[in-house]
Amino acid sequence: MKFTHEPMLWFLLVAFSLVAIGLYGLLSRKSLLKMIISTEIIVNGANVGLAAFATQHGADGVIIAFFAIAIAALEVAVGLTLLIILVRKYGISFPEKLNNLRW
Amino acid sequence: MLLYFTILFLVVIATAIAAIELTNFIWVLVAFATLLTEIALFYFSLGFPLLGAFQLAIYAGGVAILVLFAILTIGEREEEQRESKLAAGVALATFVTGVIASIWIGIQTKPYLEISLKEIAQVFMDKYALLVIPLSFTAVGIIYGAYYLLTKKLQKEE
Repeated sequence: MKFTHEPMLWFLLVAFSLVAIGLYGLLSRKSLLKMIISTEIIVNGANVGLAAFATQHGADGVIIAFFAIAIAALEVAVGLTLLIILVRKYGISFPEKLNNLRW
Repeated sequence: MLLYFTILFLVVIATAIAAIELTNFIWVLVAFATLLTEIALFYFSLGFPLLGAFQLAIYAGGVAILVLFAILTIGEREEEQRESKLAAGVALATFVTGVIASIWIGIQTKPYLEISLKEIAQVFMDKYALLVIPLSFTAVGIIYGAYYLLTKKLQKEE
Protein backbone atom coordinates (compact mmCIF):
# COMPACT_ATOMS: atom_id res chain seq x y z
CA MET A 1 0.00 0.00 0.00
CA LYS A 2 1.19 3.48 -0.78
CA PHE A 3 0.45 6.73 1.00
CA THR A 4 -0.54 9.46 -1.45
CA HIS A 5 -2.13 12.38 0.39
CA GLU A 6 -2.05 11.50 4.10
CA PRO A 7 -1.24 14.43 6.45
CA MET A 8 2.46 14.82 7.08
CA LEU A 9 1.50 15.33 10.72
CA TRP A 10 1.17 11.55 11.11
CA PHE A 11 4.71 10.82 10.01
CA LEU A 12 6.17 13.64 12.07
CA LEU A 13 4.38 12.17 15.09
CA VAL A 14 6.04 8.81 14.41
CA ALA A 15 9.40 10.56 14.07
CA PHE A 16 9.08 12.54 17.30
CA SER A 17 7.75 9.53 19.21
CA LEU A 18 10.81 7.51 18.18
CA VAL A 19 13.15 10.36 19.14
CA ALA A 20 11.46 10.68 22.56
CA ILE A 21 11.60 6.92 23.23
CA GLY A 22 15.25 6.82 22.14
CA LEU A 23 16.13 9.76 24.39
CA TYR A 24 14.46 8.06 27.33
CA GLY A 25 16.46 4.90 26.71
CA LEU A 26 19.72 6.79 26.23
CA LEU A 27 19.34 8.71 29.50
CA SER A 28 17.91 5.99 31.71
CA ARG A 29 19.64 2.69 30.79
CA LYS A 30 22.87 1.45 32.27
CA SER A 31 24.10 -0.99 29.64
CA LEU A 32 26.00 0.29 26.61
CA LEU A 33 24.07 -2.07 24.31
CA LYS A 34 20.80 -0.38 25.27
CA MET A 35 22.45 3.01 24.77
CA ILE A 36 23.58 2.05 21.25
CA ILE A 37 20.11 0.72 20.41
CA SER A 38 18.55 3.92 21.78
CA THR A 39 20.85 6.01 19.59
CA GLU A 40 19.80 3.97 16.58
CA ILE A 41 16.13 4.54 17.43
CA ILE A 42 16.77 8.30 17.52
CA VAL A 43 18.56 8.17 14.13
CA ASN A 44 15.67 6.15 12.67
CA GLY A 45 13.18 8.71 13.99
CA ALA A 46 15.14 11.46 12.27
CA ASN A 47 15.22 9.44 9.04
CA VAL A 48 11.43 8.96 9.08
CA GLY A 49 11.10 12.75 9.45
CA LEU A 50 13.47 13.33 6.53
CA ALA A 51 11.53 10.91 4.32
CA ALA A 52 8.27 12.65 5.27
CA PHE A 53 9.75 16.02 4.32
CA ALA A 54 10.97 14.57 1.04
CA THR A 55 7.35 13.94 -0.01
CA GLN A 56 6.73 17.70 0.23
CA HIS A 57 10.02 19.35 -0.67
CA GLY A 58 11.86 17.08 -3.11
CA ALA A 59 14.53 14.41 -3.11
CA ASP A 60 17.05 16.06 -0.77
CA GLY A 61 15.55 14.47 2.35
CA VAL A 62 15.91 10.97 0.91
CA ILE A 63 19.56 11.53 -0.03
CA ILE A 64 20.40 12.84 3.45
CA ALA A 65 18.61 9.80 4.92
CA PHE A 66 20.87 7.56 2.76
CA PHE A 67 23.95 9.26 4.17
CA ALA A 68 22.57 9.03 7.72
CA ILE A 69 21.93 5.28 7.38
CA ALA A 70 25.44 4.65 6.02
CA ILE A 71 27.16 6.60 8.79
CA ALA A 72 24.88 5.10 11.48
CA ALA A 73 25.90 1.60 10.41
CA LEU A 74 29.57 2.52 10.88
CA GLU A 75 28.77 4.08 14.23
CA VAL A 76 27.16 0.83 15.38
CA ALA A 77 30.24 -1.12 14.30
CA VAL A 78 32.52 1.09 16.40
CA GLY A 79 30.06 1.19 19.32
CA LEU A 80 29.83 -2.59 19.45
CA THR A 81 33.62 -2.92 19.26
CA LEU A 82 33.93 -0.61 22.26
CA LEU A 83 31.13 -2.52 23.98
CA ILE A 84 32.91 -5.86 23.64
CA ILE A 85 36.24 -4.43 24.83
CA LEU A 86 34.72 -2.59 27.80
CA VAL A 87 32.43 -5.44 28.88
CA ARG A 88 35.43 -7.77 29.02
CA LYS A 89 37.29 -5.23 31.13
CA TYR A 90 34.61 -3.87 33.46
CA GLY A 91 31.57 -6.17 33.29
CA ILE A 92 28.10 -5.47 31.91
CA SER A 93 27.18 -2.37 33.90
CA PHE A 94 30.43 -0.53 33.27
CA PRO A 95 29.27 3.00 32.27
CA GLU A 96 29.22 3.96 35.95
CA LYS A 97 32.80 2.73 36.33
CA LEU A 98 34.09 4.82 33.43
CA ASN A 99 35.12 7.89 35.36
CA ASN A 100 38.76 8.34 34.31
CA LEU A 101 37.98 11.56 32.47
CA ARG A 102 36.07 13.16 35.35
CA TRP A 103 37.59 16.23 36.91
CA MET B 1 -5.34 3.66 4.76
CA LEU B 2 -5.79 5.14 8.23
CA LEU B 3 -6.08 1.61 9.62
CA TYR B 4 -2.87 0.56 7.85
CA PHE B 5 -1.04 3.59 9.22
CA THR B 6 -2.43 3.02 12.73
CA ILE B 7 -1.26 -0.61 12.75
CA LEU B 8 2.21 0.41 11.53
CA PHE B 9 2.38 3.23 14.08
CA LEU B 10 1.35 1.01 16.99
CA VAL B 11 3.80 -1.74 16.03
CA VAL B 12 6.64 0.78 15.66
CA ILE B 13 5.96 2.41 19.04
CA ALA B 14 5.40 -0.94 20.80
CA THR B 15 8.63 -2.46 19.44
CA ALA B 16 10.62 0.71 20.25
CA ILE B 17 9.39 0.63 23.85
CA ALA B 18 10.03 -3.12 24.03
CA ALA B 19 13.59 -2.64 22.74
CA ILE B 20 14.23 -0.21 25.59
CA GLU B 21 12.30 -1.92 28.37
CA LEU B 22 12.92 -5.65 27.90
CA THR B 23 15.74 -7.05 30.00
CA ASN B 24 16.73 -10.14 28.03
CA PHE B 25 19.10 -9.03 25.26
CA ILE B 26 17.91 -11.58 22.72
CA TRP B 27 14.33 -10.29 23.03
CA VAL B 28 15.67 -6.74 22.82
CA LEU B 29 17.29 -7.69 19.51
CA VAL B 30 14.05 -9.26 18.22
CA ALA B 31 12.10 -6.08 19.07
CA PHE B 32 14.81 -3.89 17.53
CA ALA B 33 14.90 -5.89 14.27
CA THR B 34 11.09 -5.74 14.05
CA LEU B 35 11.22 -1.97 14.57
CA LEU B 36 13.77 -1.55 11.77
CA THR B 37 11.70 -3.68 9.40
CA GLU B 38 8.54 -1.70 10.16
CA ILE B 39 10.37 1.55 9.46
CA ALA B 40 11.39 0.11 6.08
CA LEU B 41 7.67 -0.48 5.46
CA PHE B 42 7.09 3.22 6.15
CA TYR B 43 9.66 4.10 3.48
CA PHE B 44 8.06 1.73 0.98
CA SER B 45 4.63 3.19 1.70
CA LEU B 46 5.90 6.75 1.33
CA GLY B 47 7.09 5.89 -2.19
CA PHE B 48 10.83 5.48 -1.56
CA PRO B 49 11.53 1.82 -2.37
CA LEU B 50 15.30 2.32 -2.65
CA LEU B 51 15.47 3.86 0.80
CA GLY B 52 13.35 0.99 2.15
CA ALA B 53 15.66 -1.57 0.54
CA PHE B 54 18.68 0.27 1.97
CA GLN B 55 17.08 0.23 5.41
CA LEU B 56 16.34 -3.49 5.15
CA ALA B 57 19.81 -4.38 3.89
CA ILE B 58 21.90 -2.20 6.19
CA TYR B 59 19.81 -1.85 9.33
CA ALA B 60 17.55 -4.89 9.52
CA GLY B 61 20.28 -7.02 7.95
CA GLY B 62 23.72 -5.72 8.85
CA VAL B 63 23.19 -3.83 12.10
CA ALA B 64 20.88 -6.47 13.59
CA ILE B 65 23.44 -9.19 12.84
CA LEU B 66 26.23 -7.06 14.34
CA VAL B 67 24.18 -6.61 17.51
CA LEU B 68 23.47 -10.36 17.56
CA PHE B 69 27.19 -11.13 17.37
CA ALA B 70 27.89 -8.61 20.13
CA ILE B 71 25.27 -10.26 22.35
CA LEU B 72 26.70 -13.71 21.63
CA THR B 73 30.20 -12.43 22.43
CA ILE B 74 29.39 -10.72 25.72
CA GLY B 75 26.93 -13.41 26.69
CA GLU B 76 23.17 -13.31 26.99
CA ARG B 77 22.44 -11.51 30.25
CA GLU B 78 19.59 -9.88 32.07
CA GLU B 79 19.95 -6.20 32.75
CA GLU B 80 18.75 -4.71 36.01
CA GLN B 81 15.99 -2.15 35.64
CA ARG B 82 16.51 1.44 36.67
CA GLU B 83 13.91 4.20 36.78
CA SER B 84 14.92 7.75 35.96
CA LYS B 85 12.51 10.63 36.44
CA LEU B 86 14.89 13.04 34.69
CA ALA B 87 15.03 10.83 31.58
CA ALA B 88 11.26 10.45 31.56
CA GLY B 89 10.88 14.24 31.92
CA VAL B 90 13.29 14.97 29.06
CA ALA B 91 11.58 12.39 26.83
CA LEU B 92 8.13 13.78 27.67
CA ALA B 93 9.27 17.35 26.99
CA THR B 94 10.75 16.25 23.65
CA PHE B 95 7.54 14.46 22.74
CA VAL B 96 5.30 17.42 23.65
CA THR B 97 7.56 19.82 21.72
CA GLY B 98 7.50 17.37 18.83
CA VAL B 99 3.69 17.18 18.85
CA ILE B 100 3.43 20.99 18.81
CA ALA B 101 6.04 21.23 16.03
CA SER B 102 4.29 18.46 14.06
CA ILE B 103 0.97 20.28 14.27
CA TRP B 104 2.68 23.55 13.31
CA ILE B 105 4.56 22.10 10.34
CA GLY B 106 2.44 19.20 9.23
CA ILE B 107 -1.13 20.45 9.42
CA GLN B 108 -1.06 21.66 5.82
CA THR B 109 0.02 18.90 3.50
CA LYS B 110 0.41 19.37 -0.20
CA PRO B 111 -0.16 16.38 -2.50
CA TYR B 112 2.87 14.08 -2.33
CA LEU B 113 5.61 14.60 -4.90
CA GLU B 114 6.29 11.67 -7.19
CA ILE B 115 10.04 11.27 -6.79
CA SER B 116 11.57 8.80 -9.22
CA LEU B 117 14.92 7.07 -8.83
CA LYS B 118 16.18 9.12 -11.78
CA GLU B 119 15.31 12.35 -9.97
CA ILE B 120 17.03 11.17 -6.78
CA ALA B 121 20.15 10.30 -8.79
CA GLN B 122 20.07 13.68 -10.55
CA VAL B 123 19.77 15.66 -7.29
CA PHE B 124 22.55 13.53 -5.80
CA MET B 125 24.92 14.24 -8.69
CA ASP B 126 24.04 17.95 -8.78
CA LYS B 127 24.24 18.74 -5.07
CA TYR B 128 25.74 15.96 -2.98
CA ALA B 129 28.36 14.17 -5.09
CA LEU B 130 31.27 16.09 -3.51
CA LEU B 131 29.98 15.31 -0.03
CA VAL B 132 30.86 11.68 -0.67
CA ILE B 133 34.60 12.50 -0.43
CA PRO B 134 34.66 13.80 3.17
CA LEU B 135 32.14 11.13 4.15
CA SER B 136 34.40 8.44 2.70
CA PHE B 137 37.34 9.78 4.73
CA THR B 138 35.11 9.76 7.81
CA ALA B 139 34.07 6.18 7.11
CA VAL B 140 37.68 5.05 6.62
CA GLY B 141 38.64 6.81 9.86
CA ILE B 142 35.83 5.11 11.75
CA ILE B 143 36.66 1.66 10.39
CA TYR B 144 40.38 2.13 11.10
CA GLY B 145 39.54 3.35 14.62
CA ALA B 146 37.48 0.23 15.33
CA TYR B 147 40.21 -2.02 13.88
CA TYR B 148 42.89 -0.24 15.94
CA LEU B 149 40.92 -0.58 19.17
CA LEU B 150 40.23 -4.25 18.60
CA THR B 151 43.79 -5.21 17.59
CA LYS B 152 45.29 -3.21 20.48
CA LYS B 153 42.98 -5.05 22.86
CA LEU B 154 43.87 -8.44 21.34
CA GLN B 155 47.62 -7.68 21.57
CA LYS B 156 47.22 -6.82 25.27
CA GLU B 157 45.35 -10.08 25.88
CA GLU B 158 48.20 -12.07 24.27
